[in-house]
Amino acid sequence: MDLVRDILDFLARIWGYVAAVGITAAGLFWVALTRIEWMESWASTVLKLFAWAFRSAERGTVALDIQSQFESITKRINHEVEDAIPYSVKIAWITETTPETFIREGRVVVRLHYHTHRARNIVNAYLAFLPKALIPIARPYIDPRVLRGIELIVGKSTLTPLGDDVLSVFINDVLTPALAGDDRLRDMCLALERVDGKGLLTRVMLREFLRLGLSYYPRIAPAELVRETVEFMTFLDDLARRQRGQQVLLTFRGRHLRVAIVLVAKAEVFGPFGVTPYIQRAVRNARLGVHTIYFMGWGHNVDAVRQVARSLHESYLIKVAEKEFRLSMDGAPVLAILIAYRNDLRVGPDMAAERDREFQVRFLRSLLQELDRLSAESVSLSADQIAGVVRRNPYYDQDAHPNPDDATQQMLDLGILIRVAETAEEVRYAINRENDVVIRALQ
Amino acid sequence: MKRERLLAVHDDDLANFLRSIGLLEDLVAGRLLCSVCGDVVTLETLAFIYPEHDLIRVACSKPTCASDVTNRSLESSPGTTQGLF
Repeated sequence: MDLVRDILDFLARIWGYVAAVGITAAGLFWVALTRIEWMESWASTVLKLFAWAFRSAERGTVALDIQSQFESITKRINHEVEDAIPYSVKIAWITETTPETFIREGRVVVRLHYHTHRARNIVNAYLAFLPKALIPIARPYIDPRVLRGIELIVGKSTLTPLGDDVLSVFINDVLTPALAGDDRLRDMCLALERVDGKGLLTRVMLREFLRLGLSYYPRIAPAELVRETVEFMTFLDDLARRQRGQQVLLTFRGRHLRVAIVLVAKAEVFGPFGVTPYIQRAVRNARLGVHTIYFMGWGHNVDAVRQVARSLHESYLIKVAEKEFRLSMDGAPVLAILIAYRNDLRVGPDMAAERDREFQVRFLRSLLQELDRLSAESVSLSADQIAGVVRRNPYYDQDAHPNPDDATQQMLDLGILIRVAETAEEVRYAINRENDVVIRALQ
Repeated sequence: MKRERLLAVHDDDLANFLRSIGLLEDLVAGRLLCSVCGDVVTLETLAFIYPEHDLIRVACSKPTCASDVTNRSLESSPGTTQGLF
């Protein structure tokens, strides 16, 4: 019994140490699993101490440093757009082979220098890595100059956090020579830099190009698709250059790329009208067949964007990304938000009739609910008020009816009946009498 | 995340590697030209070694040459991870 008691006493005394060791081990294990770049960075630093004495340590510090940096670059880009870089890098050293084996294996070998030339090594490996790894499935469908520009601008922005020496090597040895004598590429890089400055390069452009690749690969790229990628870049650049209050096109409706940007930026709109105008625009664009709808705002509008997203209940709009980031506005950093929705509404010529009918049903059903609510409050509605209700309806198709007065004529006719109706049942009866689509929708 | 192999030769092993594929003497003698820009490649400027059409080619460290080499590799296998890695 004394022995058992002694053992229990001993365990009680060392319990704190055991727990501390266990927690530390678990923490290290978690870091090793989830933050492999940290482990590699530490290991590289330790090996560097022995690099002067051992060849394996020298190779190890070079390889682990590059691997850790590329792992963190890959994670950073993939955080902005999922799967933009589907894999990271493992350095495999080659010391000797035979000409026959080398030719048969068909692989490019990159030369890496001593660890003291860290910046040059990272840039060399980056040149070999990025053109292969960045949105690989979409590359055949992107204009070659746009693609080259993306590599250069993404390269610059991702290598910047790795230190001034790395950035300096990249700018002096890669970016500047690449632009020398190629004014078209220079113009594209300037445009892409502006787009990147507004946070749209990875989060919108690469996302859309990736979607394009997933849709088309491995089909041969039609010429107009490749041209469209240049037009899409120009569209985003126009948006990036937009001055406060300036009107720019917010929808890109190409044959292959169809994107709508819904900017939540005007207090004079969101203040009095709330989320409705933004949802209207999203629904209208969904109906017109855009593939992705991006809600974007910055500064004090970030909460408004979230509010719009919370109010969006269309089952065919699937939220695919919500990204918060910092961008520079008038020289000051501000918080921005971008929420992306995939449009799952089936569109196409064969679906047009069904799509229109579906929207008509949604429009009338939604209108009925609103009028129902108003009539339940015993509100006597004027023709203008009815027109206002119609205009505020998210399903109201402004493009199909450019003149709101004409567009609301049918609803105004209903409104005449509704005006004299005093109860919800009478409103329902009035609408049902006038439109069999509503009757079918309600059944 | 999946990792792809990037083949690399360290400065320590460069001479040995070039000897094994039969390029060291030509490189030292200044008989190797960059497959992209056509400049003579030296031990200082050598950046890439790659096979193409049953020949072993080299490219210098100019960024345009590096880009060309990686793009050639891409053209041979668009959208796949073969070729470069």
